[in-house]
Amino acid sequence: MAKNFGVTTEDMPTSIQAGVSTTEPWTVIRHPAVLRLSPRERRLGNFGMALFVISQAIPYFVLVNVRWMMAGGYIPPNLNHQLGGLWPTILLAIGTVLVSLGVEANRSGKISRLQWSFTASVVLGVAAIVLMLIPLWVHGWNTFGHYGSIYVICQGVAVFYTIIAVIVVLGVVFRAGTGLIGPQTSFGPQSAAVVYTFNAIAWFGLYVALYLV
Amino acid sequence: MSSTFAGTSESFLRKGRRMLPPVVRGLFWAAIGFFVVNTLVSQALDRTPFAPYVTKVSVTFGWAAATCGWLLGLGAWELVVRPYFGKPVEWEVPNDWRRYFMMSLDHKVVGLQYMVSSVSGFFIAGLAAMLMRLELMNSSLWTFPTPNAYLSTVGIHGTIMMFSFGTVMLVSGFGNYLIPLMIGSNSSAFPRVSAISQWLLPAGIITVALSPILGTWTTGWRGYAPLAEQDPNGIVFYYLGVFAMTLSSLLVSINLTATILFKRAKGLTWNRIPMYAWGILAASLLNIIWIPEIEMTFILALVSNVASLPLFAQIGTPLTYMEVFWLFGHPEVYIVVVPAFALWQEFLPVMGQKTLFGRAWGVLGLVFVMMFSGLVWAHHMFTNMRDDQMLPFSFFTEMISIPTGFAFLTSIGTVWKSKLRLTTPTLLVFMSMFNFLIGGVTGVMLADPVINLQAHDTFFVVGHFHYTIIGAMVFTFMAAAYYWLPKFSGRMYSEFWGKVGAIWVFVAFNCAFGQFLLIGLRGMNRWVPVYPPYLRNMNFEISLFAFLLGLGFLFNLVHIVWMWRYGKPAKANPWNAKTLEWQSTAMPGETNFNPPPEVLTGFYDYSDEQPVWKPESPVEVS
Repeated sequence: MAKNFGVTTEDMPTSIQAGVSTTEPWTVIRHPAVLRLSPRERRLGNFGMALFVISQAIPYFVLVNVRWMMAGGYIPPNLNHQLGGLWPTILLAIGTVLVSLGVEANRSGKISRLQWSFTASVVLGVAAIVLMLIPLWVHGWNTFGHYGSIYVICQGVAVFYTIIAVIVVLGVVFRAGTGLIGPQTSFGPQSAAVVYTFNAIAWFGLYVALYLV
Repeated sequence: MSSTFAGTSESFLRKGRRMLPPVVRGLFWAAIGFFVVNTLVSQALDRTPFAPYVTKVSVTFGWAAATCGWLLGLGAWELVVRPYFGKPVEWEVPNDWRRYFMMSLDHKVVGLQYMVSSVSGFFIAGLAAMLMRLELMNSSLWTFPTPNAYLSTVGIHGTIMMFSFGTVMLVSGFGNYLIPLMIGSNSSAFPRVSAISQWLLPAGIITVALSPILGTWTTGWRGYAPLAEQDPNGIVFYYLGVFAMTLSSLLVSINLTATILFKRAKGLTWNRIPMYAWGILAASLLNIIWIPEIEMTFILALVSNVASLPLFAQIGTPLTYMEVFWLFGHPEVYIVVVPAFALWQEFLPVMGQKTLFGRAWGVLGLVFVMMFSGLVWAHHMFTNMRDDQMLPFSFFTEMISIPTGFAFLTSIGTVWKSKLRLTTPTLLVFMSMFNFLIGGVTGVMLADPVINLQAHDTFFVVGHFHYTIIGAMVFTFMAAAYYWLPKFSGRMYSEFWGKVGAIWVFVAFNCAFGQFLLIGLRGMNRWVPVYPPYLRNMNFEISLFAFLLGLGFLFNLVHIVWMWRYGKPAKANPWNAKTLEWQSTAMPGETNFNPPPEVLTGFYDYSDEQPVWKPESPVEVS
């Protein structure tokens, strides 16, 4: 119940605690971009990530359901299975393995390996985006048909989420480059890996719904 | 908590003082974002001969850029983007009025920002309602130039009321301010998340309010496709504005859920969690499940509209959209009213100084209402269904009245034989219970397919849902505003004028919306500015009461704002409540608890005077 007019370090939210100073009539918040988290704070972060992932899985359920409502199990005979479907799936799957390896490398203090793994997964993610975009322009079916309409939206949503996942992983690469990532600050790489993996799994579900069944 | 690296160099800290709050920078960056991207899309990427400067496609991308610019200018640049790429966090917060016009990491400031945004939305939507009632005073078209202009106003009213007030005020406004205080924490779990989410709300409200700039839209707050595709472009701003507002609620819900689960004070076990926190938890879980669902639906409809895909027309059916909309649409009602139920159970033990009756049943009621809310949605579509499809939804709609009844029984049991203080909040809670009873009983009637099919799309339905939303949520919001005014401002309202305001709106509300039920049964349809002349006199009278209701809300607002500034200083705990928010005197910008509290017992036991908390012992460092 302190009546002090400023914000003190120990009372600030843990994620912004370090480096807060009070200079009335201004409160100055400053601290490094990455902070160490206590085990409880890591659990909190993991829980927040879990809620985020659950909430973002729901749009994919909607898309899969609408795909069935619109076009049943129909798949155009001239659909190119490799270009927009199989190859992005393979690339994202490899990327998922790489981000996992990066997280492990970070835990054992091998920051350069973390950077390499995450950079490679970014490159694979960008390649997947390009491959997903191509069938939006080059395709042999009617965009205004039952299948075509929902296909372009599904593919577009997947591209959007993949762009987000790539940006998230790219952030870790930048932070690792400035020396802010290490074994004591594992939450950043770990949460970025969760986002990347979630996107890959969600895309895989969409891929199966659009291309296979 | 320790930083990874030694303190940031002083050189990182900018020495200059900002003369203007960051909201000005946000507006500037939003304008730049819109003009750059809109120009790029309409004049270069998607250029068509003789196309206007602003097209459906360009305005969609321009709006996205403007919203990004708005958020970045308000502080996301310093608090999120730069740190994400490794730059240190540098954020200067002026300890004066300007802190309310920027992103804030203080949950109390964020709560107040949300309340102001939300109340602004309420009065913008209320103004739209007044215009609608003005039109309906005459059976012919006389206020609006076209029926579509009237329908656009109906849509703006419903959309802003639902997505900026109903869903927001009790969860994001009071929730952000009070939940950390009530659970003994000094902050929310993810302060930056709420800092960002708050500023999505005014962006959404302004977008929807300005939608007529792009053209009229006739779908109401549901945004029905493919109906929307027949309209001019105003519907594009509907989808975008609602996306911003619902995203705001989703982010807050994730933050508050994590806050309640992880930031509780020592000793605050599950069976001691405040009722309001239970209500927020239930509403937040509904938000986390259903908001992404409706956002995806709106994206499908927006893309169908902007890219002219026949998703819900030639290849799909209007029913496809209705299904996915109402999957969200009915849980939305419970997102609005579940926190209100919880607040009844929060206020009545305090006002009666009597132990909360059947607390466990109260909690179960909130949880089961939340769970059943996903099983009732198709009763909005009975006119499109076979008889055998209606029955399960009819059954569950009637079933949901049982856990709702728990909230009533817990409240009534608490009041029973208590020494109740009939204060303004108490009065408003009783009014809220009465109103929701009317809303609930008419809801059970509408759950019956026979009545539903007869009353569909009449003012009976409009009266029913206004009794549940305004009647329950808005009256409870007013109770909460009076109850916590001493907490927010340190000043007490006038009991006399508070009661005058409460009785004013109660009488006007019931005289207006009670007659909605009757005029609906007499054949008054929704969505029409022109109606048979035999309904004119009753509509005229309803409009007078509606204006009186609008003035009543305005009166209460003026009263609260006046007392916030000039009211008599209040005691630290004027109601003698036991919940933790009253144990802290911290104002925005100050620390809630130092040292943190340790909870010793539940907050709703008034059978003895033993303390409910004590300052947590400092941890010895060896």
